[in-house]
Amino acid sequence: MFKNPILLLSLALTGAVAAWGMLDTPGLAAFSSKVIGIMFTSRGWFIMLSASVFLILCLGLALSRYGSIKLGKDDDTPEFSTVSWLSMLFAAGMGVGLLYFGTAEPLFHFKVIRQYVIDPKAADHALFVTNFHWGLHAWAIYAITGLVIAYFSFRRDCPNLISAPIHHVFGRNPWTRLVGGFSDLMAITAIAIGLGGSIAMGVFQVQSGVEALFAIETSGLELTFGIFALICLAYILPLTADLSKGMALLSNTAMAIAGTLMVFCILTGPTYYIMSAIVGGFGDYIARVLPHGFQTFTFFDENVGNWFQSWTLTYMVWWLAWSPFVGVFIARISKGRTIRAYILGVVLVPTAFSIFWFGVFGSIGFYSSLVIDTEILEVVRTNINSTTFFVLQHLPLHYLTITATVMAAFLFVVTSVVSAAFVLSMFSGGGELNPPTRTKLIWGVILGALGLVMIFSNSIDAVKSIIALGAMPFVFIVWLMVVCLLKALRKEVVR
Amino acid sequence: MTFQLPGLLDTLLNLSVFVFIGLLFWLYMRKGPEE
Repeated sequence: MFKNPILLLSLALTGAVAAWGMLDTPGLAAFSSKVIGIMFTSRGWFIMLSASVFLILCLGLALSRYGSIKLGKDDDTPEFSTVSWLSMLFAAGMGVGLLYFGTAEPLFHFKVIRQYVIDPKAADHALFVTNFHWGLHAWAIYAITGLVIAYFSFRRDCPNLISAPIHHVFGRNPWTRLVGGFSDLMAITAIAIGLGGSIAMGVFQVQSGVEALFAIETSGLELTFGIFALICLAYILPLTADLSKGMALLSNTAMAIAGTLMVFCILTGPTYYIMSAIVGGFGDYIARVLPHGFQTFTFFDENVGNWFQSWTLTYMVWWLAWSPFVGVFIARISKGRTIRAYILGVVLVPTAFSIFWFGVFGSIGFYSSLVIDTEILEVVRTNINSTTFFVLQHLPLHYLTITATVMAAFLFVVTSVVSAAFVLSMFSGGGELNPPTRTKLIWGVILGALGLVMIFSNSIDAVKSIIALGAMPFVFIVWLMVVCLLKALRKEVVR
Repeated sequence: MTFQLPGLLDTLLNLSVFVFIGLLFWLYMRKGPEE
């Protein structure tokens, strides 16, 4: 195990970030926010351009003659039914973020936008921007990374590594070894830091749920550490055994809870208001999504500029951070589908579900603010973690719904960490499909340490900028992977 | 998160992006070892 330089380097790099964060959390948070500020100001245009080009490229590939190429050998057939394929896709890509941001995000944007336009327009725009962040562009980033991994591993028999396409297309020489090694290293770093953030978000969410449930307000970190310890225990155990089937079951349970919660909110909330918001949201999204992908808010004031950086750009980089992890997963479950079916399934269906989800939870938020005038905007300002629970407290059976949300958040985090430790061990072990338990456990510990660092920072903004910093180099690597794919496809069709 | 950038740093960061885009075009157009 210690002969593998990528494993050693990646453990050293992520371990160093974790150690830095443990010893000096404010220092790490300040550093990442400063560097990310500089990167976003100078290269924000490139991030938006990349996300838009990936989306257009995805749609172009689906409609082109390459669309009929299979992700696998010509006689391979899909392993999963279309319905279970779609539900697994969605659970992998979004997870705990949906529960966390369902109501909080549209309301946060609303608070900013209402300073510029009248309230109804601000609400419309806030919902659109949220859908934009979680919609086609996000899924195009996942789809393109997953597509490259799936194409090269199933059709060209390459190992499941980010560097595999580079070696396959450009051959093995000192340059490709260097770039390939760097790509693997950056993918590992982005996944590890991104997952650390996910653990922190899950802990914040579970903690707010427990506080809402028992009507307590904790000032110290005792409850936080208790929840963190519980999550660690819950994911360390499955890492020692092969429980892939059990994990799929837990992830589907979390997804089912989230789905049921959504239906429950539609039925018990202001149903006409929610349904109208969903329909309006779809229309708005279809009409504006492509031009908005190129929107960089160049001529607006600093307030809007900061908002754009800390939400839109951060999200795009966030999806990039997750893309090697989600990409590997999406690739694995999509073997045997054509490129066309793959892209249409991965890009369109989850986007439609996201618009539905934010339509429900966003509009309930707007209803509480604009129609019945609760103090929800104040909750978003002072304690964004508890927004979802504030909404649920205003609906019937809130003990039940809050418990269900806490359980779903817990399950989403545990299943994500177990799969991430697996993918990290695979990437750092040269594409080994059955990585040794010891490596998985080491990654489990590092993920826990990174999660703890993010919890110490005690701020979702710090979590976001640390993730963005870890993922920034990956923007360039995805582009390189895309070039490899296009070259390989061109060659295949000529042949 | 916005910073007043020193002009040189901004230029260098953007220049690296331009070089990268150029490199991508070159990699796409050039013939690989098997082509």
